[in-house]
Amino acid sequence: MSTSSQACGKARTGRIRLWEIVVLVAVLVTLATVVAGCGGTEEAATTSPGTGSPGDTLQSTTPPADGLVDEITWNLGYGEPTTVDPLKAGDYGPCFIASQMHDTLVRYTPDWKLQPCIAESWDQVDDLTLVYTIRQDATFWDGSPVTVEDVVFSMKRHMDPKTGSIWAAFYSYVKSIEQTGDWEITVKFTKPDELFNKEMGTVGGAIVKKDYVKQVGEAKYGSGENVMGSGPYKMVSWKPGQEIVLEANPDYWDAELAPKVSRVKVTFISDTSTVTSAIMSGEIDGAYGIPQTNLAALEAAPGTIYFGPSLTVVEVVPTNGDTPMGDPKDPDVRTALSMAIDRQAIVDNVFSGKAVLNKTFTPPSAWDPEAIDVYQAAYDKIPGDAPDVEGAKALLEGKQGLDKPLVMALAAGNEEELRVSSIVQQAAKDIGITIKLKPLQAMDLANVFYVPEYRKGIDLVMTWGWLDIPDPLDYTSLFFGEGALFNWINYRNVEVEKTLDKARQTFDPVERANLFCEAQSTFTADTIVVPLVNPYQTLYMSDRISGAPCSFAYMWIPGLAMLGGTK
Amino acid sequence: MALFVAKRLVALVLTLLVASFLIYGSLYLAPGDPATQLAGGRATPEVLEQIRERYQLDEPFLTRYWDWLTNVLQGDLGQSFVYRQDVSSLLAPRVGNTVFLVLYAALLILGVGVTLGLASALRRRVGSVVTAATAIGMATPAFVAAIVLITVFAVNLGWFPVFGAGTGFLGRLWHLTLPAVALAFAWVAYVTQITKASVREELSREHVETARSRGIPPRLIVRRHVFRNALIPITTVAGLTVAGLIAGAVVVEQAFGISGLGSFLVQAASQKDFAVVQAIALLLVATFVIANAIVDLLNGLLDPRLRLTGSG
Amino acid sequence: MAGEVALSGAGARAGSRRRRRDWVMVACATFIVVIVAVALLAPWIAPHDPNQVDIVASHEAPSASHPLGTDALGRDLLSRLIWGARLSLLGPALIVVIATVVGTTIAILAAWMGGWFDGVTSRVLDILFAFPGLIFAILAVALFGPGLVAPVIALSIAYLPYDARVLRSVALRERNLPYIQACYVEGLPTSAITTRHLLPNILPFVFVQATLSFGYALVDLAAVSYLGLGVAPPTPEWGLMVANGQASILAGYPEESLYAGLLIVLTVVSFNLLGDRLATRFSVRAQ
Repeated sequence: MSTSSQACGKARTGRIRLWEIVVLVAVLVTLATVVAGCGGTEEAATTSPGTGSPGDTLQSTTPPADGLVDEITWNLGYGEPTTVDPLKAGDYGPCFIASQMHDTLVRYTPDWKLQPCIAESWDQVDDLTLVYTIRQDATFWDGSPVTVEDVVFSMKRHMDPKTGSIWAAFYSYVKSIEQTGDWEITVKFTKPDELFNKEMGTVGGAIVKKDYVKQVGEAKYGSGENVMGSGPYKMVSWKPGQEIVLEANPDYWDAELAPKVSRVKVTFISDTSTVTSAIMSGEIDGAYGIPQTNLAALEAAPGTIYFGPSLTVVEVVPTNGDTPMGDPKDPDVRTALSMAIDRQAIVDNVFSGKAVLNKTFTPPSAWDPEAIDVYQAAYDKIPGDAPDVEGAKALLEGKQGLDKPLVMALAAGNEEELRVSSIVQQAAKDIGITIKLKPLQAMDLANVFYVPEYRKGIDLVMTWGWLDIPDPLDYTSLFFGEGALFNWINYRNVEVEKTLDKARQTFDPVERANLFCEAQSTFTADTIVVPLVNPYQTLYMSDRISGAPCSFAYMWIPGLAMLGGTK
Repeated sequence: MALFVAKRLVALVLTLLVASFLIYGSLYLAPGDPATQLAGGRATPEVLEQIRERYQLDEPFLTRYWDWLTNVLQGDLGQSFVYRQDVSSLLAPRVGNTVFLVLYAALLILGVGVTLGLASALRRRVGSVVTAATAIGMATPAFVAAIVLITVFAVNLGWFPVFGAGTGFLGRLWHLTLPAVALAFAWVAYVTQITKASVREELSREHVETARSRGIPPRLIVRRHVFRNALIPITTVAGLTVAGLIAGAVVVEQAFGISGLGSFLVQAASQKDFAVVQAIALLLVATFVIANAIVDLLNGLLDPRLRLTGSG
Repeated sequence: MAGEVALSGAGARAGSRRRRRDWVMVACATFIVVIVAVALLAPWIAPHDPNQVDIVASHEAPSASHPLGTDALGRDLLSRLIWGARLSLLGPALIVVIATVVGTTIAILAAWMGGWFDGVTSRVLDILFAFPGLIFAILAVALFGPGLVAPVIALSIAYLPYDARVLRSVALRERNLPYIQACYVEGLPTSAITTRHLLPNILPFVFVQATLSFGYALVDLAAVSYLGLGVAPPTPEWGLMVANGQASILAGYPEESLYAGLLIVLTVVSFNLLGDRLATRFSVRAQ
């Protein structure tokens, strides 16, 4: 070891003349400028910040293709799942994977129409009774039939408080789920629930095999390779930190969705530059949620980018009720921050125009098509189309405790999140509030939402949230009421909770819309979250494949089975 | 000779022991108790209990260190809290990429560095340009070199991929070329300097003068009289280079999105997955120590003077 | 020590060089002075607030108000580079100061007391050599969290052995010189000998070693920031700027990364060459 110290001193340079150094430096600088100048400025110029909204053509489906393909690589842009158990699958990645492997009770089309799936048909007998008829030809990967017992078990798992299901809120009105015939299930409710059947098309209605779960144990199901589903793709291997490999299920019971891609390698790259490079180099064949900050560069990729309607909401959610920002009884600080932010600038500059600004908790894309006018009228009354810094500062006059910096968590390596967070940080600074950014690795960030310990030391979280289905009440069940999954500041408002409860019990869309808008005017004024934008759904597919769904419904339907080769 | 080797081996084992002790012990330097640290600072009381049991944190420190060390030597590198998996199974798929990258870079460094150094020592004109270039080369960190390469090749030229490690031998060779160049960049400059200096020095030695005056052709002189002695400082430098390559690999893997030990170390450090950090740090340090020991032995073989005095 | 002889030029050549002014050294010293001045005067010479986000002005080309253009968030690049000089130079400075002070102390003690103390410290330093600086820094971050403090302390410890080793041999050599022996004979106390005679003669070498180490420290610390384990965004710091700018490279805007990288290279080159020239001078003088 002693020799290395001698070596350290030995890097002598001998005779160098000054002019040589100067020339070399000049060459370097020129190279740098030339190289920089040669950058894709042409492409960048054409995709200048546009105004996203009305003119854009959004599509829910992509051109079908029916060639057979051996293997593709698909990327989960939000990082590796921690589990694919429907009970705990709460993030983009876990839901997507779980949906390829498990069938749901009912199934959505890409444009949100409900169709039969494991349930052959359903009948809302009366306001409090829902009867499902289960199909008889569905089978799990191991060949065993999907029985009514399996379905009842899968549904009841979510209701057991011990399992801590994140879908429990959607079962909260259920009184009982019983087998009432060879192939029949009856669900009885304590109160009418217009949400329930719609939620059965999400992972909350995914069907697992009872005996298998009992065998591996509830705690282990869904982690690693411990999965048994009936879906078109089966789990072959899961190498943590590396990849998940899925294989086509040759005996899938739904002939229309027979998979054409034999193997899918799923990677978990969440770093914006890395994903972009991987797509451009052809390493990745498909991905949802591609980095919208690099759309210009991605136009040169060997594939196509599609835009579709999405239920994603970009928002800032307060996690700490002990700060002026998170005070459940005083919304002024949050409201001030919301007023100071220029949402259109975020749309234009971070999302390259491929998004719509959002002024409230639930985005316009979630409105019930049958009651759009009601929702629109209410939405128009909400402020937030343009920033109002003066008004924000006025709101903060006399507030105490604003000098303590707040910590905002966001995804590390994610350029979109970094930019949005920086804009929020600057807006806060403009009105006298200090926000510090805390980038977290993908898995840590995902845990912030579901595990209380991870929220220690954090006051705000930059959230790419979403609604599961196009129904605003889907989101409200997660934020309102005591112990609601994302109600970390413990916001309580009895009026709002009652109105929303009533809305959930109303089957008529217009009536429901009216009730919802009533509650909305209150909770929007209370700024339970700081809403920002509603990005479009993005989908990239390389030239080799086509056919995947392009709306947010991709989260719940086995889109990989809709892929085919283009050759 | 035997005494030399024996001394070196003893020093090697001692260093490894102390280094492993320090790495293991660093766990206790952190604020809070070791169980919380191992859990990444975010566990429920039940999990903390589990950790305490598994790692037997109630035992005395030396016992625990010994258990850990014996486990490591048997291949059990502990368990990752984040992935709930054995660290060794997490590292196995990643080692290959890192080893390939470092070896590739080492070959480049030796090949290009020694050649350039020789050329610049033997020819004046080449010498001065190379000298200026190496001054700048040595000042270029691996990540800056990586950025420049990415800019040139990703945006403009597209000859080499700028991401990932590829699969198969040829695939890896193609994918890891730019990363290896980025990694080797500063060290090529360094080795060039050393080679040039040491060859120049040898050229001025008496025995070379004698050979020249006897009329022996220059190429033969270089090969037989100069090269072997000139190699000594180069092999000396090799030890330092290994350390630099290990550190540089961490940065280069991150820059090019290569799934290797280095990028995993960074990820584990930011996720506070301490078992993984410990294991990789130990592996890298051990590699460095062993590589240096081999270099010392090589030096001893090349330079009898070192053997006789038994020191370096 | 053989290599030093060849490089510093045998006898006559050294003499002739001394008469010509060394322009390289002048240039390096000038650059260093300038960059340090820029860092110190940042609040007054930076045209804009380096953290002022102006999303509408994203990725602007160089203009009158933004001489080097803007980054992805519309922040002025020139201001960020100027302010970045502060942290990018402060970190290595701290590392060098700590490593040098502690290293020199250990070196002098070891050279003076010799015997078992020398032996033990040599062994310990040998062990520390085993830790590449960056790995040490990453280990520290895993324990204490990201930021500037943990990596700086870790790197200081990692750089200790180099300083201590070089200075120990220098101290040993000095100690055996006649003038020190003369002090002994005269009965001067050890502490006086050390502070009044030994130290001043070692100082040039300390200075050289510090200058040489600065470059390595800058590179290592910038690497830590590049990896996202150092200062957090949006703090302006050259290593972090290289990382932040990487996302923009693929969009066709490599400026942020390249400019920050260029500054790093220029600064390190200056310190390396300067240290090298100083080392040559002092070793010639010592002969």
